[in-house]
Amino acid sequence: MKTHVLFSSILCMALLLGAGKALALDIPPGGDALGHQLVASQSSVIAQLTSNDGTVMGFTTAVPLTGQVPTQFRLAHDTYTATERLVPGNHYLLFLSMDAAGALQLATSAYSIVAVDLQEAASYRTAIANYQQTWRDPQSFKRVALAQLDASVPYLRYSAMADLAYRGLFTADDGALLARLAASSTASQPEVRKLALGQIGGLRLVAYAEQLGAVLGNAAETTSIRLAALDGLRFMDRTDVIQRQAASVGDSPSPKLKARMLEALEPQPQ
Amino acid sequence: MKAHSSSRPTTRKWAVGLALAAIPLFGFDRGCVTQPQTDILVTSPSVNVQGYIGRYDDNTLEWQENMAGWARMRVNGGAFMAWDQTDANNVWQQSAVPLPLGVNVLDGETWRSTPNGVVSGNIDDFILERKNDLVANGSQPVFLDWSAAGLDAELKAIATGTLNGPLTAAQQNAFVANVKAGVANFFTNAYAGTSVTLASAPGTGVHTVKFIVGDSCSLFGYSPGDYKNTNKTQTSHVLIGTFRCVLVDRLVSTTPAELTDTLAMRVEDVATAIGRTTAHEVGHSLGLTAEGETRLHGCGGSHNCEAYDDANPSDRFDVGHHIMDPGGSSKLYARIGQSNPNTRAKKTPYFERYGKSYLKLIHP
Repeated sequence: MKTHVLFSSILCMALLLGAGKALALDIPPGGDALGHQLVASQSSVIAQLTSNDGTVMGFTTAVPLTGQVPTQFRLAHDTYTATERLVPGNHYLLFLSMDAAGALQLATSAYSIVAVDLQEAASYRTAIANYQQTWRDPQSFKRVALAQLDASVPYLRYSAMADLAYRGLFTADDGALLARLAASSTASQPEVRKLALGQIGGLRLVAYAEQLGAVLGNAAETTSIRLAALDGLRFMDRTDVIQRQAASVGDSPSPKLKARMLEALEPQPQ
Repeated sequence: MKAHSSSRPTTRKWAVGLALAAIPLFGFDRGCVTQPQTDILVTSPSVNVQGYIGRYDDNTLEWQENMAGWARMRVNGGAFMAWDQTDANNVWQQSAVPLPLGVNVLDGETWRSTPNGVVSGNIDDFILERKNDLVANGSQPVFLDWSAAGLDAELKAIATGTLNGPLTAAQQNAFVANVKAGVANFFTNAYAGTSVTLASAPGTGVHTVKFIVGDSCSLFGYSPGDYKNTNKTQTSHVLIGTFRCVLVDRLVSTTPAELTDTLAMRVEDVATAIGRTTAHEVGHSLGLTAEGETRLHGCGGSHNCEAYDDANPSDRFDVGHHIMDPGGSSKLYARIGQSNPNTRAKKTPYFERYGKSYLKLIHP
């Protein structure tokens, strides 16, 4: 009990010291995905938000995942978590570390909070266990991450895609898979599609150039998806496919898309 | 003045030009704006807008020549202003275009006569955002503090971990010195045109960038966000240990960098990556890219917002080529100043026009 009181006091003191801080972060590519979050954190937990007064968030641990986390704990908001729509009663996956004063904090601010459904806990537990077992062995990790691309949980799908892409683990043998993930007919979230489009280009999978061209030329796609397709085609030097989509790009209201297309058609500076 | 009656065509000339390829055409027209820059912040209630009427090739989309003709503009979908005829240099100018406070989307149209009839063109949507809360805030000196222990070893580890070796001690020492000089050079170039300049010592009114080793591989840097730079004596941190982790692990596998690169190439890669984060963190402390419609429309922790570009005629986010792009979606090849992950083609990270216009307003 004394220990609990002391721990709570330390937490409160740290909260007062840290409350309202507004540190803007530069995280590595894919730093919001599961792999980096596990590296950045000392513990992870699915917890229910019990209170949120805009300054401090109160949580009750529902499913401990890694490390040691108290049953109940509080986290100070920073400028960026304060703008998140965090709803008391809902559950969140939290990646936690200790600050210099020994208080719990989010490992990388708002990047370390993921809204979850408690029924997804088993999926998170399995994924985290897989990551912990394989992260240091790229080929073993690739096997579990590829399987995770079909996970039912969007954050786990995104994480698998980001961690595979940013670690450079896709190869030309993954072309069909990447084409499926890049397709608009799939239920993939936009971030997964953009990464897949970029990987197809980065790996120079020219067999899928026309698919990327169709995405670039599809006015129903968002500018960011079309730009990802444009980048993919640029990476594989298929200016002929880009050129064929000029009409539809010209019809876009996005000056950014047009500017990038014109850049792509210009000779590259060396 | 001839009152040319044309409603804004729903189909752009690029599309028309290509769809009618069987008909002899003289290209398609596109009005471009040369003054002021587009997608920037302004403080004045009106601006003069100048530009050209460009004729473009239907097939290559390349600019061919500027043409004489007429142009007019409108603001936020309102009434068009009067047609303006181009001058002897083929420049059109719409004078005193009124700008209400907030985000303004301007567009326009052009026309000119040819022996085959009238050729119309569009001036694409662009943003001029007028703000009245930004005032000049003097200069901002910045001190780069490399005094922390262990930094040189981390930098040397990047060199030895991403190049075929062995590297001599002298080569490694030169690498460290050249990277530090390259970071300073990158910073100076990134902030060119503003009064954000490097200082030789810390002190009151001086922003300090502390380079530290760090204890994780998941954070390149952090800095206090400070819209309008209300506190000039702040400290940003850049974690060199994270660069060592990430670059040794991923530089060769996800960027055009090769183990066979020269030491000079690697100096430029690393100096660009660290310099970009240095400029990025100082940018946060100056107020970039503050979130909210009354601030700078940032998102994801005060960064350039890709979603904003999806919804507006803006160009704020570019996968890391823009300095204030969010870390998680800033590609490593962009961070080292390359335009793609496969072959070397230089594209040095920079503050996009909107962010640079903010910097020029508060630190002219």
